[in-house]
Amino acid sequence: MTKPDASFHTQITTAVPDMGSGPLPVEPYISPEFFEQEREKVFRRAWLEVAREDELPNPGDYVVREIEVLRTSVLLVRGRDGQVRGFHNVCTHRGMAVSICDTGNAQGFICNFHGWTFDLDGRLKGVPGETYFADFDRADYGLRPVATDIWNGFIFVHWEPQPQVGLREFLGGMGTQLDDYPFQRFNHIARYSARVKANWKTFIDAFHEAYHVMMVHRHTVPDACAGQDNPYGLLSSARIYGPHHSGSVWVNPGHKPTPSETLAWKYGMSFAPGDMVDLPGLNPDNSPNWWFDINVLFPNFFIDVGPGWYFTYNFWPVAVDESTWEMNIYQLDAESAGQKFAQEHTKVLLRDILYEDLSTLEFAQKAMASGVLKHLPISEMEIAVRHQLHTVQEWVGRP
Amino acid sequence: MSTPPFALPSGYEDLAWLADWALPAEHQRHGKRLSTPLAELQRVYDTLLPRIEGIIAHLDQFPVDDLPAPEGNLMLLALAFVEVSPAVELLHSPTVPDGFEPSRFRVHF
Repeated sequence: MTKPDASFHTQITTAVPDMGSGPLPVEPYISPEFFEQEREKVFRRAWLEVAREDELPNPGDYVVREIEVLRTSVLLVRGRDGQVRGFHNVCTHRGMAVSICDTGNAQGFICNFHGWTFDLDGRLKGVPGETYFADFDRADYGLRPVATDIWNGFIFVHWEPQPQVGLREFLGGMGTQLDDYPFQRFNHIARYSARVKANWKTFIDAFHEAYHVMMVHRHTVPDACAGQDNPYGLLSSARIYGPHHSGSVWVNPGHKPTPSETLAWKYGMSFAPGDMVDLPGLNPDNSPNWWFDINVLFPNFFIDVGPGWYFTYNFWPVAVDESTWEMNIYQLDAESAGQKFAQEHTKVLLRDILYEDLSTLEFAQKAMASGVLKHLPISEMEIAVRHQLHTVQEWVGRP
Repeated sequence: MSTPPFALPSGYEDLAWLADWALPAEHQRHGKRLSTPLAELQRVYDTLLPRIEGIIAHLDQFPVDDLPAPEGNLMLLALAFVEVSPAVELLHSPTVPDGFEPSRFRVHF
C-alpha cells in the first residue's frame, strides 16, 4: 500500500471556529427530538431561500411553495407596485388555501371555500354576506404576511414576522463573496427534484466535500477533481462565514475530456472541467487549479458557481428521515446553436452526476438508524460536514 | 391525419432514420435514452459524433431562437447526441450504474 500523500491541504482563508477534530455523533441525524428542535430553532429562525425573482416577472405573477418543515404553504406574489410579498397561503376565514395552483398570474385571490377575496397586497377586499359577521373589520383579516426579502434575485422568507436579523446581515461574508456575481445574466435551463428517505443533513453532507468524487462519481467524472497532486480530492480552499461556508473545488489538470466534452467546450461552457472564465465572485482565493465553488447558505441552500453556469440546491426536511431536494441550473444565454449544445452538455452531465450523488443517502440513513454506528469519523477533507453539524448544534443549543 | 415527413436540411437527409430522437424536451430525450438498449445508443452516437461540427456550423448560420423547421429538427438531433453521449462515453449503460432509481428522479422540463 502506498503511503498517503499528505502534502496537499485545503487553504482555509478565514477564521475557523473551534469545532474539535473528533468523530461526529450519529444522534442528530436520527433523533426525532433533535429534529423537532431543528424545526423550531433552525428553520423557524433562519432566512430560507424559496424562489428566484425571475419566476415572478410581472404584477400578479405568483408562486406557491409548500414548506413542510414550517408546516405552511407560502404564497409569493408580485404586487401592482412591483414589490414581491410573501403570505401564508391561508384564507383568514377558516383556513382554506387561497391559491390551489402552484403558479400563475392573478388579479387577486379568491378563496374556494366561501369566496373571500384578497388583493395582491394581501388586503381583504370582499366578504360575501359581510353584514352577517358581527363586529367585523376587514382590516383585521388580510392575508397573514411572511417576512420576505430579496438578495441578488433570490427570494428568502423568514418564519418570524419581524426577524431580528435582516437578510443581508444574515448572509454576511457569504453574501459579500457573491454580491457581484452576475446572476441576472443567467437563464434557468433545468430543474430536477427527488424525495429521499434521509435526514436533511445526511443529504446536504453528500454535496459539500469532494472526497467522495473519485468513488461516487467513478462512472462520470472520476478524474475531475483528484489527480497526481491531490489524490483524494481535497478542496483547494475554503472559507467559513458564521453559519455559512464556501469551498473551491480543485480541478485536475490531467483530466481527460470525452469527445462530447471537447465539442461542448469548443462552442461554449460545460460543467465538465475546462477553461477559466473571469466573473466576479468566482474563485475568491485565486486557486490556480480551480473548477467551481460550492457556496452553502445556512441552513439548506447551495449556490455552486462556475465558469458560465451556476446551479442551486434546496434541501428541505420533511421528517427526521425524509427530505426533498430540488436542483436548478442556470447558464449564460445561448446565442448560437453551438452554445445551446454546450448548455445541454452541462445539464445532461450534471444530471447523470446527480443520480450518483443521490445513491448513497438511504444506505447511510438506514445504517445510522440501525444503531450499528454511534459516531462518524470526519476528516480534514470534510470540514464542511463538521461545520454544518457544529452550526446546527449551536443554533439548537440556543435558548 | 398523416404525420408530416421528417424534414432535414439538404445534406443531412441520411439522418432521417433518427426522427424518433428529435424530441423537444430534455425529459423526453432522457426518457428515450433510459428505455433504449446500449447497442442502439452506440449506433446513434457513432452516427452523430462525426457530424456534430458540420451540424453546428450549418445551424450557426441561423438565429438559434428562430431556426427553420428542418434546422430545428437538426438542432434536436444535436441535443439527442448530448443526451446519449454520457451513456456511451462514460456509463456504458443507458442508466447510471449503481445510481439513484430513475423513476424517483424527476426531470421537470
